[in-house]
Amino acid sequence: MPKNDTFDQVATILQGYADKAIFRGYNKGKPSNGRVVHRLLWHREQVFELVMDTRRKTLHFPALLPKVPVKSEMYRAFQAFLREIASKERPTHRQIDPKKAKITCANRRGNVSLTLTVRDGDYEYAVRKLIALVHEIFRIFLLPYFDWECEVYDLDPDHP
Amino acid sequence: MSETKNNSNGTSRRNFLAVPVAAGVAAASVAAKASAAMSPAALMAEVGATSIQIPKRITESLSEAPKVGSFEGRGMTGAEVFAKLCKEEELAAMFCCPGNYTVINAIAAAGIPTYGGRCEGAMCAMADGFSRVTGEVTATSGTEGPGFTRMIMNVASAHAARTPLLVLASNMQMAWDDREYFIQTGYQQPTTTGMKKYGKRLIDPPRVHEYGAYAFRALKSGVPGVVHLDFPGEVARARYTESTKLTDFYTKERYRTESRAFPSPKDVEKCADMLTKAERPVIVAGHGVFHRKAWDVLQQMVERNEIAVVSSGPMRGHFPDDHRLSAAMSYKALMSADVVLFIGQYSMPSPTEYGFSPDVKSIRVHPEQEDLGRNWPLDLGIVSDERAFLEALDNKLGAKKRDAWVSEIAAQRAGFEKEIADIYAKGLTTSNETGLLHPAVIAKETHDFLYKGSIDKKQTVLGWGGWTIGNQTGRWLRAYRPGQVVNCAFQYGAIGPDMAMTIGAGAAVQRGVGPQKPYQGAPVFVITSDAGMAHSLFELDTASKYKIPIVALVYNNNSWGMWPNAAGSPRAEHMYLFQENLRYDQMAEGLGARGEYVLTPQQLRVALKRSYDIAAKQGISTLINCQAKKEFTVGVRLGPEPSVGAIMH
Ligand SMILES: Cc1ncc(C[n+]2csc(CCOP(=O)(O)OP(=O)(O)O)c2C)c(N)n1
Ligand SMILES: [Mg+2]
Repeated sequence: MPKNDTFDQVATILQGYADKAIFRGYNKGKPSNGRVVHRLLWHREQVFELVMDTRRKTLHFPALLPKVPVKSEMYRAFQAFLREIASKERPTHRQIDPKKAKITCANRRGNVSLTLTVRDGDYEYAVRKLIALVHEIFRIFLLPYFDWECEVYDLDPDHP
Repeated sequence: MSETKNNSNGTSRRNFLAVPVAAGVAAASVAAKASAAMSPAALMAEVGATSIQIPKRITESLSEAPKVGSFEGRGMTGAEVFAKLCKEEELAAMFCCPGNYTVINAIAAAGIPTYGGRCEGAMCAMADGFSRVTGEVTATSGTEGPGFTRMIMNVASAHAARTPLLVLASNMQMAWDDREYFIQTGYQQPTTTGMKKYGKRLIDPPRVHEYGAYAFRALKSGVPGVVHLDFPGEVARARYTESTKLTDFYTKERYRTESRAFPSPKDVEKCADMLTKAERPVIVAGHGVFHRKAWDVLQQMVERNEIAVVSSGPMRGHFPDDHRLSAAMSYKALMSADVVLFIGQYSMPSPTEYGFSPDVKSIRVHPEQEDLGRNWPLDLGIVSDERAFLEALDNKLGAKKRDAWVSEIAAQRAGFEKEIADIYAKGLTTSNETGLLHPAVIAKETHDFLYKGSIDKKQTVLGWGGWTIGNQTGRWLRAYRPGQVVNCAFQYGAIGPDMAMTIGAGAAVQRGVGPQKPYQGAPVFVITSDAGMAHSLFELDTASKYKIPIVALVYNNNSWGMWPNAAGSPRAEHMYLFQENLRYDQMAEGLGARGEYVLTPQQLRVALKRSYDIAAKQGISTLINCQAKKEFTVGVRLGPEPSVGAIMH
């Protein structure tokens, strides 16, 4: 598929999520040099940047979770959570097929990023899986970390 | 006015007062004779005041025969006209404090079950609780100004829960508007703005019946809600000896209808098609399913088509937690659902608040068109009464096996059970180390007692609230039949109404109303907090007076559980803390109930059994004061939505 079509295809999918109010707001960036930055108003009223890079074949959230120390229990749990995504224990519809996409995370001075590498050019599969994964991180993985959420997102705990 | 001279049974106020005055004089003279020689205790015994007791007049008053007003003789007051209409509408109960006298007396006289208590706010919560476990319309009442404004928190709670609650209050006399005579006329209707479905200050006496009809039309049609009427004296006390003086004086068959919106066959077909094609469908059964008593048809249909169900709303049990298709404890499985059908979901979440996949297809069934699409974009919106829709879908939907989906739900349920068992194990260690009760231990012990012991697990109605304790209770409570659990903090998140609300539910159990019929007379349980207790504790007098047996567990952590919010504000912390080790149990004893003070799991277990036995056999309530400490509030958050323990939607 020509690059621009790939950009459009992903933008259409993301717009579809905005139309379903998964994102409360969506801004389709302008592609340049094989790269585009999408902005999503999503969980905890945060704007998430999703960087799509067709040269590297990646979809990347450079700042998914802030203030998670590398040596914390929370970061270890996060890595274990990601490992489980590919595990055969999970129902197939919830797995991310390692032949099609690979998930990695990194932690730079507490700032956790998440990257999906597209292995077979199927960007539709990739973007849908990635959005579902981040949604699951916020709806399920973060459940035990409410105090962290309150601090990081400056939440009023009366509105969990 | 006339009512002050003679009430409906012809007794004058002066004659009525003469009796207790005479008795009081007699008692005083006994006291005077004895006082010189007797100890205070003996003196009190002599005048018959050694122990807390229910006066004979309460028992007698409760067994008085009803007397509905009529146009005969002296005719009916406006209040009696209204009360007669309430009776014809089968108003299930009224909970009030004195005030609005003409109206509450008329409602009691009409034969409607009535309860009087200590605080209008708590009585309002009782009316709400009665309705939450029965689906029936209930009323609350208070005096103009002070009584009415005291109700407000619980009026708002009832509104958020879409409770069909009739809020009544007197409101001075129109003749004295703006005169600052005493208890100045309050602008009641603006005060309940945003907290009601319908409201009206009645200003034209002859229209009292007409507006009663407005009230019940709103209470009994479509999505239920709060209705607020305020009665100036001129309306309540007007007198009518013939119907021609009253506007629109005709019966409920004419002023409202039982007709319901039926779904279009095309919509039903489309919905059936989406569900049939789905591999992992889920129904979110909201409180419309409960209100429309549609639980049987729901269960029959999903069993045939193997659709998972998770219930939502201010009450639980319209789908049983122990059913193999219940996803109430399988919140992690919900993310796998490919189609979700919301039905009777009145408080509508946004997609980031519920644990469904971003790719899920959404259907919503609702009786009012204008609400479809609000907050949650839809693939299919259907206007229909909940019961009518489920019956139509039941006719359309064939049989289907979904083994993989059913086992995924079971696996996630097992995962949830392990998760809470692990939290309990840690809580138990903490309890053993500190000699205090961790909230997970309280929740698990109560769970075992109510659902795993000798009591029928379907029997006991349980209300719950509080913050730290609520977080644990929510995970451990279960509902196995309709109207078994009251989510006291539903949507509005009020700290405080829990015990009163559960006493109201207890009144419904005592009377065996609706789904409570098979469990008539059983004790009810509430698990609440120390902060919450301040709003409800005095109603143990009310529970005791009406012999509504309640076992109330109070999580006593010496604080408002939001104390971690004082972090970084050392001068603020005192505002979040109470005196430590307060004896709510002793206060309960002072109000005619029993008290237990417990610090260990073993003590709690014994207290639960003893309190239950006494409640079941003697109708006596107990407050179990569970001593904890504030440090147990770490990492607290309410349960995921939708699931057991969800209260936000
Ligand atoms: C009437 C009311 N006041 C204040 C709040 C804000 N609030 C929410 S939870 C909470 C702490 C409640 O403390 P408590 O009920 O004792 O629970 P626990 O100590 O078990 O956490 C507060 C202050 C509220 N929701 N309702
Ligand atoms: Mg507390």
